[in-house]
Amino acid sequence: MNLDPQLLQAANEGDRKAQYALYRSCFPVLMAVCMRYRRNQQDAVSAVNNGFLKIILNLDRYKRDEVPFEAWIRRIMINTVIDEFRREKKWRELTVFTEDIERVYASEPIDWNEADLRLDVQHIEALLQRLPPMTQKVFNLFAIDGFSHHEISDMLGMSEGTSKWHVSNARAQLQSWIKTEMVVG
Amino acid sequence: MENIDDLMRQKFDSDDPGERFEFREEYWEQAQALLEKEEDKRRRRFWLFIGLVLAMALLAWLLLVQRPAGNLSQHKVGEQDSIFSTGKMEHSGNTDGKPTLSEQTIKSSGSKDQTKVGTNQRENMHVSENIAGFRTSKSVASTEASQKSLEGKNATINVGSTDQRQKEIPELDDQSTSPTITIPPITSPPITNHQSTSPPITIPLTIIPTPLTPVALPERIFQPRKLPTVAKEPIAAKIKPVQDQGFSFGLSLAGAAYQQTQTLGPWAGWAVGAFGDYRLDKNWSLMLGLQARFVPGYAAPSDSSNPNQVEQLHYSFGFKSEQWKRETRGLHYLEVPLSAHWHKGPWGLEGGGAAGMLFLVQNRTEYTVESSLGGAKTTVKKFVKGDSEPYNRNYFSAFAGAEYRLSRRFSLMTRAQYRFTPVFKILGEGVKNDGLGNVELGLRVRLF
Repeated sequence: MNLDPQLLQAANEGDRKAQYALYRSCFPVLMAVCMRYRRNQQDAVSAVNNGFLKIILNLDRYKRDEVPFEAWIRRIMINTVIDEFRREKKWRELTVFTEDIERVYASEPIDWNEADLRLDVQHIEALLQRLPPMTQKVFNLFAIDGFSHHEISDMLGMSEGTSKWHVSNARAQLQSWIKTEMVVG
Repeated sequence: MENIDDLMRQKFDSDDPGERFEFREEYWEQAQALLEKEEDKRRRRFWLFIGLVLAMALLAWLLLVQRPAGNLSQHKVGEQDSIFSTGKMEHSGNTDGKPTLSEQTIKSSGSKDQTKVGTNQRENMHVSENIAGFRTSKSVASTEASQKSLEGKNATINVGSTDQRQKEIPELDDQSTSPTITIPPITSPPITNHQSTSPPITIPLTIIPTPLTPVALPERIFQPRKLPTVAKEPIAAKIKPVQDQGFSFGLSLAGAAYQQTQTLGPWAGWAVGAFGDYRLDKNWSLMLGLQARFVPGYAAPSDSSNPNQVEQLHYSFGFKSEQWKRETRGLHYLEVPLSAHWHKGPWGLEGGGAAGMLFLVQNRTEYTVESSLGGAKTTVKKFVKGDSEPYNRNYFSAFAGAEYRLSRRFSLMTRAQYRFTPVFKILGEGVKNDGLGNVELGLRVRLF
């Protein structure tokens, strides 16, 4: 993602045309992040817009020498999604670990190479969206965006143990679903 | 590839989102609306800040300008009975040119020489006006004081013999500017001595040398302004009529009853704050305040942060039941009312407007757990901050009311207020987006 520094400068100064150009450039990257964290496309677009607002408001703090622009906007987008989630989330979320999941998880291993061939990104996004909201966020942060359990526990206000449990739960759920789909497919 | 994490990471790393997510103009329009809203918010904050600064500046101006003006008028009243120093002796004569006792003024500039100069009309002692440069270190501070000193016989003026008159006064360098006093011969009749044929005898005043020690002078001598000795207007005109203090500060506490709406729930709220009251004249005053206001109820119709969940788990050994309940108890606002007051006697009428800002949505959570092993049912209630997103953050309202002063400090007030800005930004089905009215009854305490 190569952006003209003058475009960033103009967008930072409030030039609406420059902001429009920046929005068009950032939209796919931001949508890719939001689709993993949100339940549907409408929610994702709403989150993208909120994230873009934060990007515009903080453009003056962006330092080109330190971090690529794409990584910077990804990080802002993730923070925005997590902030929104914290604000919206129920004050306590009940998660029940059922025996059903454990049974599937314990069954024969999946051939990941075959899974790789048969599953595309959209398919995986759909699977992620089926996870419980908190588990979805934790798994995304840990497995895909590379945050540590310690960072996740800080971001989402939970213990590291709970974060690990969510990741484990997500793996079990996803493997179960992938297995089922591969069998069906 | 070994596990699901690798699969996920690889898939997303190799993904080109540009192909999957098509840009639409409507997305940009939504984003643009957010940007414009943010800009509006910033503009509003800026003007609110400017308004607050102006209000503070106005208050400061009223406070700082009013106080010195009061001091000045007091000073002018006080000056009427004082005698001021200009460095020379003068009198404002009456029509026949004779200085009268009350008109005479004696001036002093506070030099090292100290001489008391007095006149006594009864003895027809005329003080020469040509004594520029003559310095006395003490003045008569008031008419009354001067009258007392003048009733004596010029205790500090030596009317000596001719020999004594010839004596030089070493402290005076220039004889031409020596103070002199012209007195008639002792044998002359006191009343008509200035018409006497005998030549007047001019003698120098005896200057009593004094050491250079600080002399405690009356404070009035050091008044920086040279004010006229004779009032240009009657004193009575300068005395302001008695009225209340110009500025007063106090606290207010009021209970409020809110208009019932579909989402209001409870109706009783409160408002507590501080105010400054500036009296413009006998009847009118301006009041600026800052108060916290609690509006009860107002659970957001589409607020997803208000769950009521029940979870009951059955085990082989019994059951465990947990219940979570969350409800919006009310909204806390910070309000800045500005009003004009009209007073007559103990009664006052007021009217004005208020700008408010939402700073807290007060929610209450209630967690109840019951277990076949855990004994009694346990309920924990807790106040938590709620989501303010569904609510309008700023509002404007107008109010009118009355006040009755119970005493100098305490007064009762009642007020009817209508808030024009709706409470909610977005409404649920069947919820009307109207303003909100309330009536208040409370107490004001003026601290000073």
